Amino acid sequence: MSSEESKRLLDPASLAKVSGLIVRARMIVEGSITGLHRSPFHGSSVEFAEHREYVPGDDIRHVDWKVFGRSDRYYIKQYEEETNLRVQLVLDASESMTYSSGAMSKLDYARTLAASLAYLILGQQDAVGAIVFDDKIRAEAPISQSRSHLQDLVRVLAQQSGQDATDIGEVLERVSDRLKRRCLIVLLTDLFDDQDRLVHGLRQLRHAGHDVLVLHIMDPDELNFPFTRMTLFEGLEDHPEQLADPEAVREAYLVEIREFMRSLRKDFRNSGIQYQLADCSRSFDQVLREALVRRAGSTR
Amino acid sequence: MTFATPALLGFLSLGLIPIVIYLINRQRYRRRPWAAMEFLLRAMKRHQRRLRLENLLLLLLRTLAILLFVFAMARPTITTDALPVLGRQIRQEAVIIDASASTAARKTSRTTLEQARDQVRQLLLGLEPGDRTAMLVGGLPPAETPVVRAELVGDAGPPEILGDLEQLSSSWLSFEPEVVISEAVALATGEGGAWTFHLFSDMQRADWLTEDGSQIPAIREALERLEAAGADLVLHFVGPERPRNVTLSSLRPSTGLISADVPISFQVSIENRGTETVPGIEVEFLIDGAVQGSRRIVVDGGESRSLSFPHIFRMPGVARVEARLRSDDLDRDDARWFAAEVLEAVDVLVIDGGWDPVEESSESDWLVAALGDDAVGPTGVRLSPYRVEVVPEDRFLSADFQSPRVIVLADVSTLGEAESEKIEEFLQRGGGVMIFTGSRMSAETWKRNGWRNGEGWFPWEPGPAIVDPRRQIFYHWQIDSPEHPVLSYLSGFPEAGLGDVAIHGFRRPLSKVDEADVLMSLDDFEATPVLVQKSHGQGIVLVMGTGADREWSNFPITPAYVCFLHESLPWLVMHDGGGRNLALGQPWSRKISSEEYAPRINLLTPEGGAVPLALSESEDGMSFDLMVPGRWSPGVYELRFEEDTGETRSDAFSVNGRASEGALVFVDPEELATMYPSVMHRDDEISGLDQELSGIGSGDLWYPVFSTVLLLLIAETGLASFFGRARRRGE
Repeated sequence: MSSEESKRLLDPASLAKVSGLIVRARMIVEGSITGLHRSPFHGSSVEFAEHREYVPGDDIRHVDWKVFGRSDRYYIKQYEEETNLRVQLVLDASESMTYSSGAMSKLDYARTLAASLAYLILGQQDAVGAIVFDDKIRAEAPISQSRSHLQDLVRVLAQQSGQDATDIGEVLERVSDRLKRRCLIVLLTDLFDDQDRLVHGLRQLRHAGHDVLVLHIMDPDELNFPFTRMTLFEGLEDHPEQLADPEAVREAYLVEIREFMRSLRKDFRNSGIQYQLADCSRSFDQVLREALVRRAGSTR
Repeated sequence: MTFATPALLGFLSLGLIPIVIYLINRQRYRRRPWAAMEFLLRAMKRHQRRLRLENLLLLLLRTLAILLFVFAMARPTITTDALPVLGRQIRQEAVIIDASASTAARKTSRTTLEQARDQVRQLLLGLEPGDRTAMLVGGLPPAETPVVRAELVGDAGPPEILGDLEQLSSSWLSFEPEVVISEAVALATGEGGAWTFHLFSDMQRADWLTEDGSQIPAIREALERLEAAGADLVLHFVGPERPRNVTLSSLRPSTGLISADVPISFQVSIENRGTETVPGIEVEFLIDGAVQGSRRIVVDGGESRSLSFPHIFRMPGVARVEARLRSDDLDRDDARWFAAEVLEAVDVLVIDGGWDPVEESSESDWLVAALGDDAVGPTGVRLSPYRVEVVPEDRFLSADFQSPRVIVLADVSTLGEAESEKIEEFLQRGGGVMIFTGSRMSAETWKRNGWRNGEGWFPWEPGPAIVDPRRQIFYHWQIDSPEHPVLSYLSGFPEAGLGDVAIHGFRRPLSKVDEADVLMSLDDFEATPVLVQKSHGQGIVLVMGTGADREWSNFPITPAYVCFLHESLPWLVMHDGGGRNLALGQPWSRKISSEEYAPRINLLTPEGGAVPLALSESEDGMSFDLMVPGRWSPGVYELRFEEDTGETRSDAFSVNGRASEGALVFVDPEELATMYPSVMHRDDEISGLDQELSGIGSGDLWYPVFSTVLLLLIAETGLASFFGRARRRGE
């Protein structure tokens, strides 16, 4: 499969035609992500395992310069993992996640991303669990590294459709309470909630020793506000209606949304929380690659 | 403010389009569920006031741009002192064209009017878009005169005026400068601003100056008003430089009364208006379209010739008489027409007051002798048109008053009530009555039944006879109305001896006589009126204060007596039909009796057209009035009365233009400019447009308004862009 063909198949519009989440995840992971040289989810260890020949893309800090001096060839030092990684996928399935401008809603997009991550993680013999929430936790699959656990995860991820409002702060507190061991928490949400409570909840997770990766799911409409005709915007999650001339209000809206994202990024950066914007118009592999690269960078 | 195309102002309602679009857009919205509502609401709340202001401002600019665009398309023009600020100062150049008969004169192959049109067209096309112009035409009939209105010059000149210009043709009328200048005053006053009027004319001297070469007051006053209105008048001479024109200046019969079988002659006057002798001028004389005679004459430059064409009409009726010349440089004055009413014979009833024992003659002997015998002689002609019947006074009431056209009362003594009523009825029908006073006249009965304190038909209150029986004191009479048809011939013919008449007996009016009715008076101390005229009903009365015989004067034995009667009786007969020969534009009316009524009346024009006419019932309810509006082309017009039975009868009248129109004597424009200081002379050049324009004028707002529209559109685009940037910056 050529890279172009792969890219076309992995974009949201194409994958929307595939109903099974597992199949989607497999297509994404096996079609694109397996090409990565090393798992971004490797744990940290100082025990040398073996050498391997350098390929472009490897961190040159891991080049064994002694071997280079002897053989005039580049080799990379690889280390044994000390522990298995534990990943908790936390999926926002509130009403605001149902917005869709294309073939796939934000919720569908997030489910697919989550499933892909689960597939990837289980494929590395690491443990992964899933929580689906809106104003409270609606479904949960415990963290497990069993290969057969994927079915349970997918069932949980696909179970809920967004109907209620979001309360991420409350949910994160519940999640924090349930996680007894340190793990990587991957939060897939549009973050349309009270910002202070959201950041507070995430900080609590960080204080509890968890790594946190936020995949910010945004529809391209929400990012660009491309409407032209007079529109009556019907607020989801109990927001009122508003009649507006999109052309007149576009710039002001974009200013608001950008300020919101800028502020979040700043708070996340200050709290050691990784943030990745997941634009629903982009292909899954691109988003996953960026997220994984970002994750890999943060663990070195 | 005026508009070149005011109809476009109706499109001002297009200014509502932006508002309507705005409102429609507010009503036609799409529904869309929206997740990021918090940010939208925040954006709305933060920028709502500003958005409203921006929307309002843009809406205002768009609306204003549309309104001003429509306004500009209507080509507004304003008169203001602030003109230079508003835009290009426009010119207001109007043209006045003389389209009178003399402009039909040919100069080479083109007429004066055609050359004037060329120059006017050149002037009009030299104007720039936005300038204003108008066209005034003088010398045309009212119905053919274009309406005077200011027109805005477009890219191809003023289209309506150019169209009217192409339609112009020379009339048969004269140019009246004061009329058209008054119209120019009205235009300049009504439209405002500084107007320059360019007059294109052949400057006929008779139109501009009196016979002695002085100003015509009406023209001077009109020019002064034009000057007061801030307008200039520039003269452009367009006449032929060396006119060669022969005018047939008059055609008239030798007598006012034309009767069948009575020889008559028509006098034709021909004038050479040029300076060179014109040989071989052929003059034709026609009756009812058939040539009766022709003469070939030579007329020296500036001279005139009279020709006489004798003719005997054999049948009564109205004959069409025409005299014409071979066409020359100006064909408008080469023919004249005359509608001649030919009577079978004129019945004259003389009521004789009685035998004069002194003279051993009857009162009417001299009178009958002077009127002549109507018998047809062996040559088939009659010497007199009058068929005279004399009845004594005692048969007054039994006499036939239906046939006579004229009744002469010769020293009738008693005027009873019945007699007076009979005379009055005769007058009401349009008859003519001549009265000679005398010694037998009973002043009391005439006063009571004829004068009736001024209410009767007799013109004055008769007084006692003033007579010098010894015939030693006598008076002469003096003519007070030399232009009157009765006296015009005698006043110009002293040899007839009217001034030699010695009067020693007369009746002096006891009442005051209106001066206008006094045709002659005595040279006595009181200037006693002796010949008085009075109209009564449709008829007319002539009263001679002395007798018809030799009892009170030697009048009957002077040649003037015959002349006087032969001038008076035609007047008494034709006094209401003398208007059969009219001037251009003069209406013609006739009383139609119930016996003459016809359901269909058509006016046949000289060009061959037929115009239906209608009768209106007269005030007395006994007859009808026929009114023919003035005609503006010369010739003989025939009235054809058609009965239901198919029978037809005709009447006719003639129309002639002013003979002086063919004079082609032009006044030097420089002289005219000197005579009337408020006019300027431009010698045959269209340089009026080069003149420096003076301060206050009219402004074409097209450019400033359209520029404003462009500025508004630029401002709208700029502001919309700026607002967009501002929003992006989050200001």
